[in-house]
Amino acid sequence: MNDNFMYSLRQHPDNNFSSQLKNKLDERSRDQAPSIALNKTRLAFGFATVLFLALITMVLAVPSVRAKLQDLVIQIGGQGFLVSSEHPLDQQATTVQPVSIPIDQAPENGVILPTYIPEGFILDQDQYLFYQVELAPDGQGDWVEVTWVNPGNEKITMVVTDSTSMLLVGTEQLEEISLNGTYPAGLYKGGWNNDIDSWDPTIPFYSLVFVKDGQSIRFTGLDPQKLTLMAESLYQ
Amino acid sequence: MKNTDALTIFNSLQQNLDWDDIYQSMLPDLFNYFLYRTRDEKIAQDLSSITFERAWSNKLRYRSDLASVKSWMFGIARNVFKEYLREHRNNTSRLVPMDPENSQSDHFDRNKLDTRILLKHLIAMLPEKEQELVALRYGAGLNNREIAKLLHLSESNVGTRLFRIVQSLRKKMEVDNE
Repeated sequence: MNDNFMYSLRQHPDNNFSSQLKNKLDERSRDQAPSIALNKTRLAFGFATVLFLALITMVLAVPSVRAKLQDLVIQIGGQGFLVSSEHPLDQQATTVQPVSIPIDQAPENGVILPTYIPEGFILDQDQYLFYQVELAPDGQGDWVEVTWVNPGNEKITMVVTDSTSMLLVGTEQLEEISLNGTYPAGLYKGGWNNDIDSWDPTIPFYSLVFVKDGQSIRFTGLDPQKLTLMAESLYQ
Repeated sequence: MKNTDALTIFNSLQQNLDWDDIYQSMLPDLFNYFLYRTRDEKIAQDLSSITFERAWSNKLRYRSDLASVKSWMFGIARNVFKEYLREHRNNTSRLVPMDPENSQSDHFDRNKLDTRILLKHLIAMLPEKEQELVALRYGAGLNNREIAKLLHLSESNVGTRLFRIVQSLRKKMEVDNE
């Protein structure tokens, strides 16, 4: 196909514009230099810390500590956790507004719901949310979010995503637990704080993550016991 | 996962990219992406600036294990353009075909002038998604595979759609030139 004519609108950026923008970026880079160095140091420190923890884990071989700390990557039951001090990339993906779908359509859309719901909790508005990632060079796909709420406005959320995606966490304090005595799952506390652009261990929510049927499922809520029971009910 | 895999990730996070080279190689492609999208040289410059400034502010967040620099920067560029569209939703008159006579750069071949103006008008009349495909392919110079990854389409789908768009545009240009 001869499509040369389609390129005819291309033009070279104006030289003045090019050099002015370059100067502006260079100035910005100089201003950022100290913080970049600091971040690299922090990352290196984090890396060394995790290595140290991995060594301690291997040396002590504490049976109760089953989380396999391997450098910056932790694998639990097919779910990869990347421990990082960097806030998740927010420039690489654009999230469109979620689509609300009646909960009774969940089964036909392949969304499996837990059979156990903690006492007092009900589905939030009898619907689930479907998010579509418009642009994600890392290959992450769409996800589904279901929320239950109790009269005290305590919430439990279930997020279902593609299991090939690695979960970025800011803590190496991952505990490997077993669902129904069989299926491994990762449990951690805290979360990313978008206001301070970093991991916040004081966030009181627990997250329980595991892989089932090729999907990564994450329950988040205040009580890890409730999360575990809900997760286990998915296998019944 | 083996330790070597983890080390690879760590190394990729730490690698020193030559951002000067990235600037030199990416500026023409990004600028032309915006030029094809907006058909306004000044706006294309402004949006290119915003894209580079945003990318430079987030250099440390770039992860080569997740995406190439090119994909990463065009991800930012597309977000910048969407924000621009949202801000100017009620003022789309700004997105008018550029007047080549007032262009700051390039020397125009007078014989090709009419064809270029016509092509700009025809591109401007395409549906939004087709304009995006054209801008990524012929403005940014991305190949079908790169576009497919960015837009979450199959490579063959991108190829087919572009083929149809080009065929249609060529046909219209021939008719209009007669």
